[in-house]
Amino acid sequence: MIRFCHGADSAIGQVRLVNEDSYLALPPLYAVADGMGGHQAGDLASALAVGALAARARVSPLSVEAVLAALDEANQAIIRNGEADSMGTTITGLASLETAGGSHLMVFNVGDSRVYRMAGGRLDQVTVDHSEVQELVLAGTLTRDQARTHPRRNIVTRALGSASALCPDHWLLPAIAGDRYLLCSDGLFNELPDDQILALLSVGDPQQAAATLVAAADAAGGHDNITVVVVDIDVDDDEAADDETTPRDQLPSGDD
Amino acid sequence: MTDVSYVPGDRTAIVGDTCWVLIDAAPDSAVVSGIWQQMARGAGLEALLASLLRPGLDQVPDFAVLAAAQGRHHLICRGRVGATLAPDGPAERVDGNGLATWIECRVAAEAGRVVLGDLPGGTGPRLPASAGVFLADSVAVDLTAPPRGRGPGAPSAPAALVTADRSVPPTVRADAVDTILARTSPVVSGHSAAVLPDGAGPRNIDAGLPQENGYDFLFGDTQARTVEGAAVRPADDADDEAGPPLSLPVPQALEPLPPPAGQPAGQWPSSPGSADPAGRGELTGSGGWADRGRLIDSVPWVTEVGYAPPSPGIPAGPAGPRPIDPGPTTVAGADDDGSTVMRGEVSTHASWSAAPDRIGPMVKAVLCSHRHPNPPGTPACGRCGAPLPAQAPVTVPRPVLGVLRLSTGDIITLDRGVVMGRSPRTDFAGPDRPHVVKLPSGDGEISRTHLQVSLDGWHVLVTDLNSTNGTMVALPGRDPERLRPGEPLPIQPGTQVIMAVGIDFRYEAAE
Repeated sequence: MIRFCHGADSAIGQVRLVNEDSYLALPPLYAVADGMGGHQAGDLASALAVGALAARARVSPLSVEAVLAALDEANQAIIRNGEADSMGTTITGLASLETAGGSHLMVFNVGDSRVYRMAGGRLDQVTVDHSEVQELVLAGTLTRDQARTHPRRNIVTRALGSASALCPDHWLLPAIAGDRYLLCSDGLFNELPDDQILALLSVGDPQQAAATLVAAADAAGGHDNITVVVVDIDVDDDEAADDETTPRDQLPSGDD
Repeated sequence: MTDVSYVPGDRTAIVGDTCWVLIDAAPDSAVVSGIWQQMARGAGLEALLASLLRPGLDQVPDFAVLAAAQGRHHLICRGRVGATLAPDGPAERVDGNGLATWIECRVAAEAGRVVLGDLPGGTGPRLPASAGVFLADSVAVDLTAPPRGRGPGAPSAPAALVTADRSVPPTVRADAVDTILARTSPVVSGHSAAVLPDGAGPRNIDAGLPQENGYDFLFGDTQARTVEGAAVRPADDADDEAGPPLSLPVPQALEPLPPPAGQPAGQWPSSPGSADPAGRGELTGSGGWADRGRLIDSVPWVTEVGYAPPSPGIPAGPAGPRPIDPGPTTVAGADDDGSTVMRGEVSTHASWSAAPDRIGPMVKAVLCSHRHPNPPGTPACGRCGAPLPAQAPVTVPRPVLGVLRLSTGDIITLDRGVVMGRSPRTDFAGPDRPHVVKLPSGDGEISRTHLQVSLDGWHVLVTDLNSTNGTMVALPGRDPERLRPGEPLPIQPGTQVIMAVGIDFRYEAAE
């Protein structure tokens, strides 16, 4: 059984007039959505997206199919609502799944919000941005750090509300006790370099870490809305994960 | 003195000295009379809302309420009535359309005016309003004059005639960082026109912007608006007196939510403090421990928003709003705007032939009449069976190649590679990160990181990662054979891969 402890914070930043980010912190489902489109459309799109996920969070246990179906529902809802009022949203998040092998996490992503995993003192970006600069990074044209300030850094290549066929990325990961996950909108990582994110994420409980990160990104310029959800993972002891593998010829004979 | 004007119409306006309501209800209805009485009593916004909500959430008519309290203005909009902030300038529309409850904003005086209801068209008369109840399509409140009194109610002397509209030029903030969906189609014009029938605001900006990439859409969002929270605001918003919505009925989406931290209940036990390690062990109930934090953070539409006045010349700096570009002529180039933009082609085409998103792996494909991608050389579509005519292959994002159906009942999508084992390593990074799947230990027969399934073009390959006890592979119609450690073996749909007794999977093609 997996257990979560989370904290969340959001700020409009120093420049934007509207906070178009939304987030969901409803175990076993977490998400950050960064809306796009003027006249409240972005707010609505991101709210619709997390709302569709929230409806699914009540169903337990979650499955990959259920989360993907919720994303699809959100996409359709945004397209329906967006007919006269073009809008879209990124969404990224974390859901817990139970499998025969134990608790897993499903990380999902559409767009350029991110999920990071902090484990063993390292910060590891799980999601891959759907953005033009990410393509340039993958092609070796840009470094990761250059991408943070590249003028085209905010051009996303996938978003909810942009096409009826949605192509969310997802990853399965084992839930490991002590891991801390960071979900954030680009207002965080475009302001703060990875090492600073790691340093701030490491300190305090999830709520403290979330508040500190948001405050730091805000103080660093706050060019965009900043939304952060921090989730700590705890898992019941699972048997034998650390044992040595037993060579088959040393197994008690019987059913082989 | 606050200047108030209205345009006669079909809704009911209830005008006080520091509180203004436009509601979709008859002027002689109980709800209107209740609001009027609350105002006359000088009741607070909370009492006023309670009066509005008394019949039950599903009976509450659409409304827009603007109230001054302690030097600030709150705007609450339910349903379609809505309001427009700063109609003379960047014109931000606020309404609760599509929301289960309502939307609440803080409005700064810099917004200039707030129009409750629809923006008046050019023709209808605009009349000065004094305290009272009357039929109106819209009510315009000028915030530049400070509100009198501290409570939101207290109808009193008639308001003065409305002053001439302030003329605020459309503003574009060149360094605004927003998330915007840009399209090649000229979405922005229609978008703006729908909201700003008088042509004020961002629509005027379009001409000064590069068109080829649809960047004009960027600036459709440059709107003044002060939004603070929505139906429910953060509990730690200390300077907010008594946060009225917190005491009100919560929307449906909130029903399954836990009580505030410290009140464990139901299936979502809360730990007494954020991430209190001591609390972890104690709260291992069915839902696990789930600290809610200080925020009521499960409400999807909670937003915390400040306000940046839409005027030029605001000094830059971390503590204050960034400079605001006064007009289109000085827009430094959309690329510098920093707004998130959706690349055009992807947004308008759903099919595989759309301009490809190059984030994931690409493959050469031939397409059936339903545009299902298939490996070149395939005689008939693997998904729909349609024949595949001779054609030049196109490059498309690689589709899901199928699933791994585990004997444990779990199903893994082959949209990427898979690493599995009893306690598999997880230190993968970058775009090729596989699914990492923990398997039952199988009496210790399964190695920690046992097996890898990788995707190469259209091929699915399985590799034993030097596992202690090895892996058996049964290709379709063949006997199981031991996989050579470290050597990738291509497998076909129907192949069974056995890692231990009772722990195996079958590779199945995409449906």
